[in-house]
Order: sequence, then structure tokens, then C-alpha cells
Amino acid sequence: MEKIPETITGANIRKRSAFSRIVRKSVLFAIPFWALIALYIYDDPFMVLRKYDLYDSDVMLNEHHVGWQIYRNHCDSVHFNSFILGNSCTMAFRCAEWEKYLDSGDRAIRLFGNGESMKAISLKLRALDNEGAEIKNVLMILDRTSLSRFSLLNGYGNILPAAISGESPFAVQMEFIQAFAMPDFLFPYLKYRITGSVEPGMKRMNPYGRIRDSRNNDSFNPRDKMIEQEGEAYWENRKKEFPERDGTVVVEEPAIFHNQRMVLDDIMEVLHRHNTSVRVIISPDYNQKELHPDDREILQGIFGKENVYDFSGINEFTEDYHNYYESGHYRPLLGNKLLERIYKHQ
Amino acid sequence: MSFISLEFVLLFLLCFILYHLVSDKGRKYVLIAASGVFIGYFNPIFLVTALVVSLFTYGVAILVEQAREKKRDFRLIYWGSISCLVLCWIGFRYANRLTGDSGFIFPLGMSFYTFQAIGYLTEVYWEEEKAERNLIDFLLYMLLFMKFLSGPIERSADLLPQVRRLSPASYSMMTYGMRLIVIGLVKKLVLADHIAPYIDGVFSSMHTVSGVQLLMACLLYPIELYADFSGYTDMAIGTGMLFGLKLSPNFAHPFAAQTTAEFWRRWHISLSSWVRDYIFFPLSSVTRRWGQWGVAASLMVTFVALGIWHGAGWTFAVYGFIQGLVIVWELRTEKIRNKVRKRIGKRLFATLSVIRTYLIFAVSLVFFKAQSVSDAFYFLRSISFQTHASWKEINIGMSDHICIVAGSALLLILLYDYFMSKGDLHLRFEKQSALIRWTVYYLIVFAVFAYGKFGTENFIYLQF
Repeated sequence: MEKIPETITGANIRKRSAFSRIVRKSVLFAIPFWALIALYIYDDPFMVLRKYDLYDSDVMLNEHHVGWQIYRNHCDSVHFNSFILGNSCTMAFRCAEWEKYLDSGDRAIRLFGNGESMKAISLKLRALDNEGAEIKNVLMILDRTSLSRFSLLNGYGNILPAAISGESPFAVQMEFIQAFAMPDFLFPYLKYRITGSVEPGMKRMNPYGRIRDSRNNDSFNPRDKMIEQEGEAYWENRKKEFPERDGTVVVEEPAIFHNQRMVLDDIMEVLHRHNTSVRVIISPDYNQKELHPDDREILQGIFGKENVYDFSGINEFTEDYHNYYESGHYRPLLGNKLLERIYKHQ
Repeated sequence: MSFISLEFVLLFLLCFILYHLVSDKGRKYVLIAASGVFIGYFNPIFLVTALVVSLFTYGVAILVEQAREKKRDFRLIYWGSISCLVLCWIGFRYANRLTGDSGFIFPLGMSFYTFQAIGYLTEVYWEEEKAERNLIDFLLYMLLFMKFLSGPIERSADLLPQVRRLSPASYSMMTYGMRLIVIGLVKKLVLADHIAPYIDGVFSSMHTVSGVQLLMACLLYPIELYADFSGYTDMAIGTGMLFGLKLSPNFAHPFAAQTTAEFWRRWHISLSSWVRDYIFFPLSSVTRRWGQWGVAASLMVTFVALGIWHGAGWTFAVYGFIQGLVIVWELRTEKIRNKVRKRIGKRLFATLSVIRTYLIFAVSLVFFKAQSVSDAFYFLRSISFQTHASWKEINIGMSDHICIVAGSALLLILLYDYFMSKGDLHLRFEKQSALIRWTVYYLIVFAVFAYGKFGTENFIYLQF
């Protein structure tokens, strides 16, 4: 560093030449980045820069953002007071189906996240509380993974809207711009921009068209159509997605420790204040792994024994593979059965 | 405002443009105004505190000089003012504990500018420096925004002459500065901020994580600290260069050090040279009569002081104590180490020494990072190769993506450090063709843009 040329001190040297040269070159250097940002702002591929009436896109969107925006778009006209929270398995629970078991006039919406963490659920409830929403009913769809997650996930698909997380909007938007700039998204996206079609293998693109109800964020799973068309062959042709189960009882490792417990207490604090009717469902895992009894006990201690329904392990719901799209997700067919079981149980 | 915030980018751009458009005299006012906004933006009280300390130091230095010229007792003024500065610093540092008010905030940058003030007063007292009579120049020396938060702790002999004749930088100095800023961003955003949450997670749940996770957190924390702090320093020095200022280097590839004594000549250089010049040298001249024991005692006091500089609490004192103890041990065992070197060969000895120095530093940093001494001992006691469930725990929760990104960044940073140790890489790079230079620039800037972890504006050394 000692050898770098000294500062300009001679009076005869044009003092602004170095400055204007660096400005010129910096502007030139930044052109590709500005072009990228301009395209991003113009296209808004993740639908996070502007408000939309319909959240349908050829790009996979951030489900937290979509759910929250659908809620915000309709909360003035629809009195949402019932919320389906949890991970992607919430797709098995249709709002209209759940509303059948609630008081007349109760309206439900699904606010989920892929691989949802307990922290995200807690922050969503806080955000609803801050918005002045009435939280009358909550249906929480969880599994061991969600229970173990006491901190927020990152990445464009998992980051919460700034209005929910309280993070700086700049940092949240940066996450989306970065996702846009990633070569594995950017190059396929540019190709999609030119050809106008989503090709198989394009990362983070949605080839299925409409996958959600824009009024309550109910899921439209494209696999329903495949099942309808293929019938029994659907499962026959996808044996890789349905690994063999040997029928032995496997109990999972405990997931709830001190940190998870604190987040669960936070959730309960909001629910308690709203006098919410809560139902916690531990999803019927295709692999038939059972939630650790200690975790179940902790959940029952917090939410009440009568409000926690553990469908994990080997049981009538997990036995029939027809209930599943693949090993990670089950169908509304099963979701309806679970709702019936829960509310008949009362 | 942090270096990695939109507010700072806007302030910097405004300041940079104005600085190069206004007259020679106006430049100082542009910098002083930008520094005021920068400090006051955090909290106006921080600006007031910094101004009070600066004005006090400015006045006292002139008084010391005048008293000496008039043959009055200038020692009393000097020692009185040093006591005031130290007591004020300790007062703020321990205010939480003394008042029991946990809401009390330690003014940002205070440890840095207080030490700078003490250094300046001592130079004036030793007649190594003339007291600065121009208030604006002195305020710039104390409050320059690029080095205000976390240093480097500048010596008056280095910075004051530059501040007096502020002028725009040459083109090559500006490009050098920009490159340093980008390297700082890589260190901070692509390495430090990616691994920090996971290391923090292990430290905050040390009672439940496995032995191998504790081991990995212990081994990774020096890397995080280095990437965070040297990243900040690179950005500070780079920003200074854009204004024609050369700030002091703070790091010189520290992980290549073969002894802890050498490590401290390469790590946080502005602080370690400060404690050497203003604590160790005066102390060792006082304890000269005691021979080697005097050197050892001076070293121990110096390093404990260096540890305590980082914060209130026994953990920092123990951190400094370990450094001092190891250096004393190294002094006492030099002959044995030379014998070992001869026996096993230079290369193997050098490699083992580098590893040993790194491990000692990593272990001492457990005290630096832990909330209490008992926590630190628990952490160290629990380190093992044992896992709870599987060897996957070795990644302390980091995804494969983060491991690859942070691992690649670490490799690049170590390579950069290696080549910098062989001569100035930037100057060699400048001689390459424009195509090569611009391709590399695009790759690095794109890597920061796409793989950097934005959103965390804090730097570890901000708390000091």
C-alpha cells in the first residue's frame, strides 16, 4: 500500500479529472447491474414490488408473501377470523371444508409457508394481532421438522414479508433481487422471457399455471388432475415417490427443547389473549414415523390435551397410500377425514 | 448508520461528490459535516460525547504545550487529563453495572477515539508532536467517519498531516480504495455474515449442542471475527482512499503467524501497537531492574489491559491474560523451540507453529465470545468429537449452499492474503489488461451481489 501514488497536491494538476474519470468508469461498470435491476423492477417476477389482485405466476412465489397479500387484499371486504397455519401440508385442508365445522359467518384463510418454522407462525399471529384481526379459530398443521425450527428460515422462498418479520424492507427486497440474480434462475428466466414458455427443469418456475385460490389461498394441486386422469396408475407409475414401509414402529428424536418451547409459549400468549379456539394437527406422515411422546406431551401442556391431535405413526390414516400425492404431502381427501375426526371427537 | 446500509451509501455518495466539487477549504467542512451526520445518526448523544472528548483533548494539548514553554508543571495537566479520559471511558463502559440501568448505551466508537486522544496527548507530552492549533483539523483527526466506529486507531503523526493538506485522491488511489471496499464486502457479506448466525447459535445453546459442534464453532469463530473486522477495516481504509486519505493498516495476514507474539504484530495492529507504545514500553522501562520478570510482568499488564479494552467483564480480562501468558511462555521457551525446529525441519515446524498459534487464539476467543467465564470453561470442557446423532452435525446447521459459498469465500480470502504477503497484489493487478481486470471485477461484484448476505448491518467490533 505504501507504493500507491500519492494524493494530488500540485496546483497545476486538473483536480477534477480523476474524479470525473472514476465517475465515468463506475457508471459504465454498473450498466449491466442497472439493466438487471431495471428488468427486475419492470417484470417483478416474484410479485413482491407491487400489489396484485391475482397471485398467479409462471415463477414460484414466496408463499408467505402471497398469503399475506391475499389477506390484505380482502380483509376489508371479508371478515377473516379463522386461520390455517403451518407447513405445505396445509394444502390438504380447504378453507370451505373447515368453515363447515366453525360457527356460521366464520371465514377462513390459509397463511402457510413451505417448511414453516414455529417462529414464522408466531410472527404471523403477532402481525395479525397488530393488524387488529380477530383470531377466533386457528388450525395448525405441523410435523417434527416445523416443531424443531425455532428461528426463521432464509432464502427468497422462506423469507417473511417485512410487515410480519419487522425486518428492514430493504433487506427483504434484497433477498428477492439476489434470488433473481442467481445464475440458476436468471438464465432460465431470460430464456422464458424470450420464448414465453416454461420448460421442464427450469428452476423455481411453475409449469402448472394456477395453483391457488386468490380469495383464501386454498391450494390447487396439479397432481389432482394427474390422479383423475391416471387413476390407480398414478401410484403404480411413481413407486420411487412412495418408499416401502416395513410396518415397524419408529419414534422420532425429540424436537422441542428450550428455544422451541419459548416460541410455542409466544404463540399461546397471542392465542390466549384472543381466546382462540385452536386445533393442532401433527400430520399423518407417510413414512409412519411417530412424534416423540415428550413432544406430544409438551404440546398438550401448552395448547391443551383436547386440542392436540397427533396422527403420526402407524394408523388408519397413514396405512392407505391413496391418501398421498407423494411421501411428503397428503390429499384433501385425507384432510377432510382428519377434520371430521377432530370435530366429531368434540 | 452502518457501512452496509442504504443511508451510508447515500451519505457517502453525497459527501464524495461534494468533496470533489468544492474548493480546497470547503473539503474539510464537507468531511466534518459528513462525520457529524454519520455519528449523530446513531444517536445525537454519541456526537455530543465525541465532541466533548475531542474539544477537551484539543484544549489540554495546547495547555500542556503552553505550560511547558512557560516552565510550569505540565505533568500535572497531562496526568490529570489522561485520568479524566480514562475515568470517563471506564465510567461509560461500566455505567450499566454501576447504575444498574441496563438501558445505558456505551457511546459507539468511544474506545477507539479515547485511545486516539490519549495517544495524541502523550505524543504532545513527549514532545514528539506539536499541539494542533486548527480546531477543524483536529476534529477531523478525531471524528473522521470512515474510522470513527472501529478504527484503525490513528496516530497523530500519520493522520494529522494528511488532514491539514486535504486534497483529492489520484485516480489510481481511488481505484485502489474501491477494490479494498469490494474485498471488505466479500469478507463481511459472503463469509462472516453467512457463518455468524450458526456460530452464535452454538454459543447461545452450548448446553444442548454436541461436542463436535462446539469444536467447530470454536475453530470457525476466529475466521468469522477476522472476516468481520478486517472486512470493516478494508472498507474504512478503502473509503479513506477515495478522499485521498491513507489510514493505517490493521491486519497483515495474521493466520500466517507462527507465534502469538507475531500474531499480535499482525492482528488489530493499530491497537496492539498502541498498547505496545503507550503501555508496554513505559512499563518495561519502569520494571527494567527486575530483568526478565519485569518484561513478563509488563507483558501481562499490557495484554490484560488490551483484553479489558474490549469490554467490561472478566471474560475479556481472561482473554487478554491468556495472550500475555502465551507470549511470556514463548519468550521463555525460545531455545527449546529452536532445538525442535532444527530437529524436525523448518517447514514442518512452521506449519505446526501456525496451527498451534491458530488453536491458541481460537481457544482464547471462547472467553472473548462467551457470556461468562464459567460458560467459557463449560464450552471448552465440553469440546469433543462426539455427536448427538450423526457426523452431519459438523456443519453446525449450515446448509450445503452456505458451506460452499462461505468455504469458497474463505479460500479466496486466504489466497488473497497469501499473495498480498508476497507483494502488493493490487499494484500487480493494475498492470493486467483491461479485459482481465474488468472480468475479475464483474465476477467479484456479481458474487457479492448474488451470494452476499444482506440485512445484517452490525459489525462485531461496533460493541467495543
